[in-house]
Amino acid sequence: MYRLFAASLTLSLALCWTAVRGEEQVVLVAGENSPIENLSPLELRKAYFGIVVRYDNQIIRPFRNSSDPQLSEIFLQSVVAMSERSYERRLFSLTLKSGRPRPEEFTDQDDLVRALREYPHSISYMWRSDAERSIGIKVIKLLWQEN
Amino acid sequence: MAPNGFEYDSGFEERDESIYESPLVARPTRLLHVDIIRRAFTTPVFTGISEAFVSMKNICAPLLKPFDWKRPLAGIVFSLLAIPSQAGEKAQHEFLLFPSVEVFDNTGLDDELFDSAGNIVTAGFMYSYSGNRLRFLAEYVLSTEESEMERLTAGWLFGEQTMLWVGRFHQPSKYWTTEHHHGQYLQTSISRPGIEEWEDEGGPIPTHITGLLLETGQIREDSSGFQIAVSAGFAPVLTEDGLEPVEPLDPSSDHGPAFNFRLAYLPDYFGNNQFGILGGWNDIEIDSDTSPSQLGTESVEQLQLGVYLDWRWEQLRFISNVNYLEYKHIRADGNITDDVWSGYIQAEYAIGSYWTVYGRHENSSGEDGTEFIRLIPKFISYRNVFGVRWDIATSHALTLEIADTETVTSDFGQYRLQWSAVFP
Repeated sequence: MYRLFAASLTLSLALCWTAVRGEEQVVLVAGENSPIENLSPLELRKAYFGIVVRYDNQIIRPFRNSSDPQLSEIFLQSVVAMSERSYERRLFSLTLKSGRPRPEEFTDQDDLVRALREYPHSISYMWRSDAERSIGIKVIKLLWQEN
Repeated sequence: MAPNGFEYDSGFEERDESIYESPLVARPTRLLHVDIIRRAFTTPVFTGISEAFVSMKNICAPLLKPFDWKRPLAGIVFSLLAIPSQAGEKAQHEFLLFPSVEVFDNTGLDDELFDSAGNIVTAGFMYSYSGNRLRFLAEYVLSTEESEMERLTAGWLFGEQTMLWVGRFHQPSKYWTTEHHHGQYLQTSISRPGIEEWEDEGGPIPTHITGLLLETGQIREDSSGFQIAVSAGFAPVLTEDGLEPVEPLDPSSDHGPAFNFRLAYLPDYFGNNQFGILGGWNDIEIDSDTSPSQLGTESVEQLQLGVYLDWRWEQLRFISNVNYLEYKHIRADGNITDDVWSGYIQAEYAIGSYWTVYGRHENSSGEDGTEFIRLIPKFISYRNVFGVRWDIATSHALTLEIADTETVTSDFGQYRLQWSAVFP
């Protein structure tokens, strides 16, 4: 009886989690004091390939949010349009060729939020629900939503 | 006038026959197709390109006099240390380490140009500093074979994609080289094609140039774009050991000028697919202690024109580069002009996420009759390569490669096993 209850509870939680994520959106974020108001898909892609993109004559610093594998997968599909392996190798190659800095990677979302607040011209991406819960950051635009 | 109706460069017919007594210089064996190729490339247009480079050399000669790089380079380094950030923006630093361990065995060697067996342990270091406009890049290689500062440059960013570099760099007319540099892990094969080899490994085209490099690109709204790279600087010197580039921290004199370029079209600017044209003109001085100098050649003007392709179709990838090289030997008793074609095509097929099989065919034409190539005995003129690469973990690869190899003087087999990686 106990096992049946535990299995039902696990299944229910999994379904709830899927339902919540199903309503989720991935958004582009920046620090609340950031002057950045919008970026085109091309500018966004350029920034994540280490190509200089300026806003108010300052270079935009892209941060990678690696706190959630599913979020990373969506970023790779919708922003850089490459597999993780191809993207990583491309970044290594571009850095080796011309010294371009690679986007800084954060596995802890709290560290990411702190970095976004510290550098006004930095950008990253998050689940919308996480972005709305975080203090000191703002949503710039919608990047992805599940149909 | 030659029997086939083709008019050779002045001095060619009056060549001093005694030069063939040297073991380093072979009597040219001129084939019909080589003559046809030469005929095509001695048209007024091609000759005009060569003359334009000579004019450029004369104009730039006062500016290209070698000078001591120690002070300016030290200035660059100390400036970077003194200016950690610019205009309130935090500077960014990158550091990459490319280690590799290779075991090799060469079978059927006729001479002692190559080791019959051994192992090579290499560590390639890359550091870059990026400020708002200023960038600094250094690439250093330490191995059981050598210790060398490969690249040492400072650059200034104009706009968003135009970079002007000053220092020592890998010149842009060698596609493979500028794609992989010393990042062994980033190239699928263990070996690099003979025409793309480093100067001290038998490469016939100068790689390390000290001077100015301009890189720019343009991205269109559909993400396609093009890239242009143009360089001007000091070419290597030909010594008994092959081409010897300018050492930034140990400059020597008598380095001639070098001009090189590459123009690339990329259907997706962020992807890997591209094709383009490349070329250059290098005035290669000859060290007075080497045999060719004693035989009367003062310098060699090398003209290069080529096309290249790097293309992927899902799991399949092709890399190819074909070059025409013309060498004008400047001699007191009359100049000698000869030429060579050299190219390669490498095909790679990825099986799943971890395995890649590849093959490469390299070939050259006219190298037997080209004195300059004969003076670089380690140049690999013909090779068939087959290999398997296993990406054993994130950023680690194990590669096995076999090859049937020919130089101008020998024919042998090569077996290699290599581990390569990149950190962090």
